[in-house]
Amino acid sequence: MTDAQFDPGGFFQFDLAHGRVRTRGGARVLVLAENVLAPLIVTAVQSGDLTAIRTLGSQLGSIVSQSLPAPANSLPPQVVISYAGSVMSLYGWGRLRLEQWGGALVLVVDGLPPLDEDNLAVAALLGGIFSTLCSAEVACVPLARSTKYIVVDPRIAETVWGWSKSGDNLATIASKLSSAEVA
Amino acid sequence: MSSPEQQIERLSQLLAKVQKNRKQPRVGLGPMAGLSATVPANTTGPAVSAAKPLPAPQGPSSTGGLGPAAAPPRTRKATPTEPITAAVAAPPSPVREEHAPEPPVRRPAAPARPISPLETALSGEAEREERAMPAPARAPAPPAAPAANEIAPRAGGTQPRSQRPPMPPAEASAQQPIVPRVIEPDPPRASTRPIAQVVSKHAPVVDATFGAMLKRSLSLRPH
Repeated sequence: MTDAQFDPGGFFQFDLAHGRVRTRGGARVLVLAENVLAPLIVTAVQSGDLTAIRTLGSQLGSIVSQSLPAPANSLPPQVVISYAGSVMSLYGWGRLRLEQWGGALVLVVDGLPPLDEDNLAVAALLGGIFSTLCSAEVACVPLARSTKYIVVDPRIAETVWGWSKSGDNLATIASKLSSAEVA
Repeated sequence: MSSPEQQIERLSQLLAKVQKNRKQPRVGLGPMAGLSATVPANTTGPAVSAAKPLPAPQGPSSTGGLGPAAAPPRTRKATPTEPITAAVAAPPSPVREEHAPEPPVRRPAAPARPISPLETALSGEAEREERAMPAPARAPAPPAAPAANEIAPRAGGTQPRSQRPPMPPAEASAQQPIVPRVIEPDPPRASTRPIAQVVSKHAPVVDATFGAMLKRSLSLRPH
């Protein structure tokens, strides 16, 4: 265990004189209402292009990795999730938690605003965050009628998504997955 | 009897007289000057031309608009510094008739009392006019200060505030370029509290390293 904690102090710099908001790293951000963002996300989902959301996730992942005291892969999960959750909370993307179902890693995001029906936008966001954070391509598949996202290899993401859409719950999906080989 | 407004009237009359004397050799002032004195100093042609028809009904000023050479000799007080046009314009303003002889005597006592905003506006106008007068080619008249515009209603439209001859409309518009007024917002006040504030944190408890868990999750495959 470690006592390292994400320091949110002064993360946002509000330059009221110039009407700008910047993050600690200098990136300019805009504060949007959820009812403005939601239709934009729905449009992106309908067009099948969530690249922008995943890019945002990559930016958040970079912030997290720069804040961590060590590479994410070498840190306890609670530290990584704490940092990642803190950054997500700062941007208003809900509360992040982590669950482990057998060998499956499951992310839980509570308190999200209603965006798209299948939560594909948040799935793309999480995929961008953890792909950048862990330097590995990650797919986060939303589980239907829940706030959970299972972390899988992108090559099996469509299969898992199909299971979820067909009504399989998380326990069923986890049981359908077998750990091939753990180094 | 010596209310501030009356003293202001006397001051303005004095100013007007001084200016008229300085202008007299060059510019003719008729009864129109007394009427147009209620117009602000920067008022141009249209307002002046609107005042032109008024001199006709005034009996004593049968020579109205003809200038000092045509004005009848003044029999009322005939101070050396009083312009001839003041006699022509005298009938419409009983207030001025009452106080006209006094200003040369009381003028030194005026600065002893508190100066009202109205007087400030008048004195400012007088300074501007004095600056403009000595030049052979008159400099552009500065735009009237807001306070100078405010005194017109208080004067009741009868008291001459300035008898400066009105400039022709074309000349006035050419000498008064329009300067845009820029209104800058006040600088924002610095906040004593941080704008971003964290209200809650969470700390999940999971064993093993995150990398190991992620690798295990990514290695999952369907049966």
